[in-house]
Amino acid sequence: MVRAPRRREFDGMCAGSGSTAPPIFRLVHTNLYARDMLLRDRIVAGERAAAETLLAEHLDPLVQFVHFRLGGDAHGVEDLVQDTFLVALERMGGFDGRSSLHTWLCGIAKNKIRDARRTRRPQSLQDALLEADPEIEAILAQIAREPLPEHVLELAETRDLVGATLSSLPPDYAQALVQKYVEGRSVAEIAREAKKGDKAIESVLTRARAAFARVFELLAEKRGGLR
Amino acid sequence: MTPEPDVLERNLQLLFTRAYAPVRAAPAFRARLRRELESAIAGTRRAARPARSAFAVRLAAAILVAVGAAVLGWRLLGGSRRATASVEHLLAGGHAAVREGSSGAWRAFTEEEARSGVRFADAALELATPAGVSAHVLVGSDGALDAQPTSRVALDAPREGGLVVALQSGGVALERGAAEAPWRISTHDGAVRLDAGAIEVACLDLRGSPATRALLRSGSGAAEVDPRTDLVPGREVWLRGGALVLEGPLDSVAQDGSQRTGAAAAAGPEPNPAAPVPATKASLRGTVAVQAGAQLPETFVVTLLRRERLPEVSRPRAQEFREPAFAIEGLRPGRYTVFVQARGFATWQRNDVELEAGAPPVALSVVLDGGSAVRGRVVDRDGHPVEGATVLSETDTASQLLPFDLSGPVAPPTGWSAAVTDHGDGTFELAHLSRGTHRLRATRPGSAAVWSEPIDLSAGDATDVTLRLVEGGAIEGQVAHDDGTPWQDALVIASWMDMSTSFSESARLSFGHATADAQGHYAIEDLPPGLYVVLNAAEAQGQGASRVPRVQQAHVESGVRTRVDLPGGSLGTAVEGTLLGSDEQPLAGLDVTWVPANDSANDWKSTRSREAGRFDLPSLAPGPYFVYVGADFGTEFSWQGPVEVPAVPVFRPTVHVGSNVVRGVVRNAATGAGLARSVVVFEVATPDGSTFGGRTVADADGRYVLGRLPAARYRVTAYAVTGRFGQETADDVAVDASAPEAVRDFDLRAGAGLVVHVRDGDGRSIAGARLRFLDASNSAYSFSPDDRSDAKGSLRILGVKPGRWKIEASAARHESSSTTLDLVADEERDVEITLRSSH
Repeated sequence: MVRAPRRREFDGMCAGSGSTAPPIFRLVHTNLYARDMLLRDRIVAGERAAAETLLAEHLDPLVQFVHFRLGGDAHGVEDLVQDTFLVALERMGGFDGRSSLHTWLCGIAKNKIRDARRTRRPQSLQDALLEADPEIEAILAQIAREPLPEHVLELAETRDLVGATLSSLPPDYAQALVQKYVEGRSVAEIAREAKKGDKAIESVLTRARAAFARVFELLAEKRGGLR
Repeated sequence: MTPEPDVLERNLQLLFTRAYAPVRAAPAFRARLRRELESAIAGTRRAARPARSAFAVRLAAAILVAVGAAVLGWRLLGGSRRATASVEHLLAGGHAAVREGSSGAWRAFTEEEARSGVRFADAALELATPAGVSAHVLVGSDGALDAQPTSRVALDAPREGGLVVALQSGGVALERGAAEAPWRISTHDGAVRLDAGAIEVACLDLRGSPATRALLRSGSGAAEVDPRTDLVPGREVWLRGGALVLEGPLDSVAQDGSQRTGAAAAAGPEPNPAAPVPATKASLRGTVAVQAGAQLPETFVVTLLRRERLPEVSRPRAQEFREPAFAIEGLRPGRYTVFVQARGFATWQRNDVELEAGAPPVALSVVLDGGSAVRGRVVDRDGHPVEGATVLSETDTASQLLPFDLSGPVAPPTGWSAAVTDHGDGTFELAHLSRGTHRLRATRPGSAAVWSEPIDLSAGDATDVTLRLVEGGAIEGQVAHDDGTPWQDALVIASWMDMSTSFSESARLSFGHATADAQGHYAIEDLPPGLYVVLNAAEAQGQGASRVPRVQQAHVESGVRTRVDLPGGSLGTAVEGTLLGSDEQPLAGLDVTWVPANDSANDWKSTRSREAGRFDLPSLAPGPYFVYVGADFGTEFSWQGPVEVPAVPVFRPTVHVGSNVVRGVVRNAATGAGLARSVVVFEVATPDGSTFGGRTVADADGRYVLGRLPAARYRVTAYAVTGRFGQETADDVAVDASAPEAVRDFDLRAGAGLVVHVRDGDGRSIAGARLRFLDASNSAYSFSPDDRSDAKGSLRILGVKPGRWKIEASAARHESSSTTLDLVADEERDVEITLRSSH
């Protein structure tokens, strides 16, 4: 155990690593969601004001997420969202920033939605779309390739699909799409408010558009349902 | 067809302007929720104090050296059926109790039920187990439930199908025995529900709110417990201390939704007889005979101990037989130790019995004999006889059957070889020990446990054995929650590191435990000198803590109080790391051990990776460390590399585990036979010299394998643990991406036995002296995990390779010294090294 390695041996062991550590062993800081981690630390530290931040950033996205998966029962949605936040607070110390806080919250909500659906069988998006014309389904699934006919835009099912799709996207994607297409803001305006560059916002929009199209098509084909 | 950007842009514009209806939280709901959350956040720091339970003790014991406190059910389950009695009365009498329905009369298990389990159909069943007794319940045609000692559990088979298990206290393990359904669930709090389409585990935390929920859906093969948990088909699910652990294959979970348990099984679809059904259970059979002239015993007991991966408790399974031929069915495949006992005969024992699912039953031929006797006495430090000391043979007594606390006079385990000195002259007799080499242990309050030298009974009785009790040391310190508040009632356990699987030929086991007071202080007295692991067993139930208690190391010396704080210093760095494979996939269920690079013999800490490969250690002193990973704590370690822990509040490293393998076989050079349980030690080159690179233990055929090795060059040494063989070394064993697997076989030749005694200038033994062994080429070898002298100042080595050796000895408050000697094959050599006082 004390035999010192000959220099040649050690060089060989570390060849290519460029450091004293063997290349197989790398240290990577994985704190990708620093903002969420800061919020976690405030909550774990017992800072009451953190509740406002938590709600400001996550309540509406979570309500949307639950609304389109549980059905239109407003009370049921509120109960479930409240339960989700309370469970999240209990487990907040275990949130490690390897996913976004939104994703983490949605994961908790998903479990609760499954429980709720088992016991009271809500009016789900899937149920709501059951009677839709199969032709509509085919049309909606072509969002990235075919212009949408006028009559499709007036259907309640289409509104549900848009909402369900948005609720499935990361909040920054959904926000960018709403700002761009609902509020009619320019890329420069969005960038200024977000304190980011135009290219960064353009990049987010490009990815958001693609993601929206993929999820929309998927939901249209599958007629909703919990992923 | 590819997307058309212009079309998509137009459609999005239309959809968002014509078909978008925002969904937002109502203002009143937002205000109400804000108040609720503010209140909850303010209460976040009020940590719930985990309750202590007997199960925690058992779990912790298993982590240490696989000595569970679970005692054989058969010892106490043999009572006949009793008339109606209160459950307290039954439990106080050591009987497991059962009743049908929640208002039925309690009764003891019948003899038949004790043997084959309780069968129930439509009615709900409640059962309670006393200390030391576990219960086995057959559930439907393919399930079984085992209740830990001191458990209270209600079972119900609702009309709609499935099984509901409501656990009030203790712990249960559920296992499905059907060939196509090998799932297992183990929990010790909360409730478990199984139904036709899903398995749902609701585990309640100590405040009564849902802490963990597991839902394994049929059909999809997916399950979710936690949004960060990646459950996939083909894994088993375990609950420990309110936490989910994933292991092994779960190919069973509801492939088609038709699996039913309990009463639902009868109503469920018939299995397709044409479908191939792989067997998942193994069986064992054998015959018992006695030596010529002896009379066959009326009854004998066969006890099985399955080798479990720590921290699972190896629960003994015992069955009594009256006929010479015996058969035991329905065993989980694995490696077992088999004991056969009968009154008036020595315990018959067979290690490493490999039972495979679906294979023909392993057949054992047992021949009982009266064995040999050992007589002797126990004396104190001054040579005065000691009354009330417990003496037992660790060779014949399964360590898993020993009571957890051996610091006091305890009733010897029924049927096993133990005695208590009660004649005033300190004498004892163990009448029927197997013919072989034995290690005896004596314990008594106020002294540390003491062990005999190996006693060879192959030629007959031994009549002059003296066990001299010695002064022990103590471990004391402070226990705190991760937030630094004192952890009242924390159960701290110290265990002598088991060296039996490595370098010595028989086990020496020692435990001590204490409960922390209101200030979190604890003290464990009367520990024999040696290297200990220390842990807080309550961590197994802590919320947000590691599911497996984190362990620390401590060295105990006679008359010295060693301080060990749990979880450690308050100023250290919290490590929250992630373990990934070379394919970037998270690795759960592996032991991650951090060893200070400056002093590898002390202060290492270990934890186990959880779902998503996460692991944490609340407080590490900043500085350089080596990280090791293994799947079998205490047996298998693979070096992963150095890491510098910075002086920051939280350090989040990602450890990429190596993927290379070294394998081979350790053989007796003279016969070519494999040497069972040989220890294979790896060293690896580092910038500062070479360091411990890992170790593993060979199987019954001498085959070894160590995986998860990073690309590097290793020096590999094989040591035999049975027989007197010299060690052999292979230099420059290289593995890397181009050659990820290396094969090295070792042929061990006859070695020399060596006992090193370390004394001071007055001839008194020096315990805890560090010894270093250098061969003729000045290469150092270790012959145990911690080469130090024992309480008697000695270190015994089973086999050393012949040749010239230099032995260096050092001890606190003494000047170092060394001696050189030439060892030849097959000799037994005693060597004495004298260290002068440095004062």
